[in-house]
Amino acid sequence: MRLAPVMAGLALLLAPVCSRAQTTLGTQTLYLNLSAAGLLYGFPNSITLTKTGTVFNSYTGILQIQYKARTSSGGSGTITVEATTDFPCASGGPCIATPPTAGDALTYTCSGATLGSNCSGTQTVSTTASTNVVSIGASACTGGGSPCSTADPNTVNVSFALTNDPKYKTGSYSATLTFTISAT
Amino acid sequence: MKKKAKTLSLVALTLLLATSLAHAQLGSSTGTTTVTVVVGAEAALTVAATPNLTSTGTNFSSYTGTTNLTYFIRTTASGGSGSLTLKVTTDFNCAAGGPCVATPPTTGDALSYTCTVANPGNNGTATPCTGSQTASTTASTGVATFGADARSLFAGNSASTSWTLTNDPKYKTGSYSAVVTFTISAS
Repeated sequence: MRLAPVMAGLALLLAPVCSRAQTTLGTQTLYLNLSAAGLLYGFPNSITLTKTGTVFNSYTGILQIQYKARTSSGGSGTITVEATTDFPCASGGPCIATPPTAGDALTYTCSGATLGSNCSGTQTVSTTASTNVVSIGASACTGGGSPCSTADPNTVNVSFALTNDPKYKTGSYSATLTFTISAT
Repeated sequence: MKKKAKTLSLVALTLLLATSLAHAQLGSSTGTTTVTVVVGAEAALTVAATPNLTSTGTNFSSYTGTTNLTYFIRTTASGGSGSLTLKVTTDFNCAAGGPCVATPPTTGDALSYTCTVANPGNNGTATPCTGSQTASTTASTGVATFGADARSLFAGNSASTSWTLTNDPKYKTGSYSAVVTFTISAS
């Protein structure tokens, strides 16, 4: 007999669930605000510069960056690079901040950007400022074809060159480059 | 019942949006790359054109002349070394009756040289050959040696060889040329 009220209560609780499945709720309008965004993907975490030839040719290497971006109608985007950790300058090898010989430098050129414009000409990597890799215009977007890019993700190639100064002591030297993407 | 239905719909919509947001977080606004370079031992040189060997005076004085070099070198910081050598890779036209390095027309005829070399401008030492050396067509002969951690200027450093060629009256008159090949190495 005590069980009956419990069962009745349970039935009352279940009833709205059962009856809900049969009710038309009406319509709702969904609103979605897509913000500008930019992200780097598949980022290679290391690159080794090598030398070809025999007459103190520069050390070179190529890095490919993958990215996606969406800019607003009045906005823009950029990919920049900065040396956030220099070579160990005190060790007698290359140094970005204070080159051992005037003219020594870690430089780069850019090519093949599939969204936006890659940097033009030779750029010099700095430890004190970010330098341009890709500039993205307004209303730009990744993937899916027009009005967005066909490529997804987008890519750009960055070719590095480091002066091969005889003044460098023999040894292995590393620096850290940080790439940053932004979009408005 | 209608309120519960709306709540369920909103929850479902939130779940859908949360899923898409989670996918977008696989990228990053920044990325870091470690750039590495291995700096090794290396050497190079440039050779200036050698003026014709000339004889001063009138008593069959030897022919003399100087070859100027610019060398670029980096030897291993610990235990490294380098060398600069030369060899006559094309002899004078011996059959023409003039000078000949391989088979001197008269015993004692020779193409010989002395050396000068500036120390590497950024570090280390360079030692020139000692005294007069006799050039050979069969073996390389020394011009300079370099010690460990020898590092030249970016623009290079200077070296030279001063030539002496016996002025043997046996030589027939004429113009004679030989090719000397300089080699620099570093470890």
